[in-house]
Amino acid sequence: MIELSDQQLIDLVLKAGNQRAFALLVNRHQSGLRASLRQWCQNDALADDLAQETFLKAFRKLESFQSNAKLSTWLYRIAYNTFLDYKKIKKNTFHDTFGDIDDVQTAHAGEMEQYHQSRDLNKAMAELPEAQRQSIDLCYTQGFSHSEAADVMQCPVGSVKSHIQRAKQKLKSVLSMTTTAQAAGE
Amino acid sequence: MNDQEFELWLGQELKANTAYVEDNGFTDQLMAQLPASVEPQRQPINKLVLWATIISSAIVALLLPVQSILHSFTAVFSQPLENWLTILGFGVSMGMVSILVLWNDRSRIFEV
Repeated sequence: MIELSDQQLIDLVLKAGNQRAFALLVNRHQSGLRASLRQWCQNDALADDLAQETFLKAFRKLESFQSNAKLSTWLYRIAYNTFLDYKKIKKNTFHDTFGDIDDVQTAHAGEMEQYHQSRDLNKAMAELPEAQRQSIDLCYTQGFSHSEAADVMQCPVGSVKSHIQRAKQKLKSVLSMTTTAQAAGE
Repeated sequence: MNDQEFELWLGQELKANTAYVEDNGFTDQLMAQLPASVEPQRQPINKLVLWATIISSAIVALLLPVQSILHSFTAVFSQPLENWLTILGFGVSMGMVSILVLWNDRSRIFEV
């Protein structure tokens, strides 16, 4: 069953009520979806809760999935709406801590440079406005095209392109400031 | 770093930065929240086809030669015991074949 396509697994869920097929779909898509939600929320536990809610909604609405669409785009659209709904209720800023990556002592000496770069980029990403961060995550990390990202975010393609352009400018400026500050400190 | 180099670096860095998120019970936790079973999709019945079937069945029933069918049944029931055993054996064999076919189909559908 593991070699079946997403559409074949969906058919098994809908026509035969096969929940193991749905478990396989979840297992196939959970990593990317959770990683994106973690990037959007900046809070791992909250992101995982929203991912659970996303898959539950997907299960309930599976009949409405159009077979000519891409399952990942459909799932990300549900995740995006779930994230927006949560935000409306909680009105949080989602700017959490970077506790998860602050344990410098655990990194090996050879990995330190890479580690600092990743940490700086994560911090710079966290400073981006939400829509810019989501556009960058969808297009660069998840590999969606601009039109797929626009479909997920339910906005014009031009808006996604403009979010990405602004995000890149801001990232470049924040990262160069960080580098300058580090050089001055040494 | 010029724009092109930055674009390339950003793409590589973001992809390298996003490690695979291990399942760690995520799927099991989710599956425990799903309803016990999903009702399989039902094929919508076309009302026109349904009515056509009912009407044609009624016409066939009216045209049936009831008397000759009753006569055939009487003839069957008056068969000697050996013939009954043959019919029973044939019925059991056909039943077993049907069960095997259905079982094979079920195993294929739910195969994991």
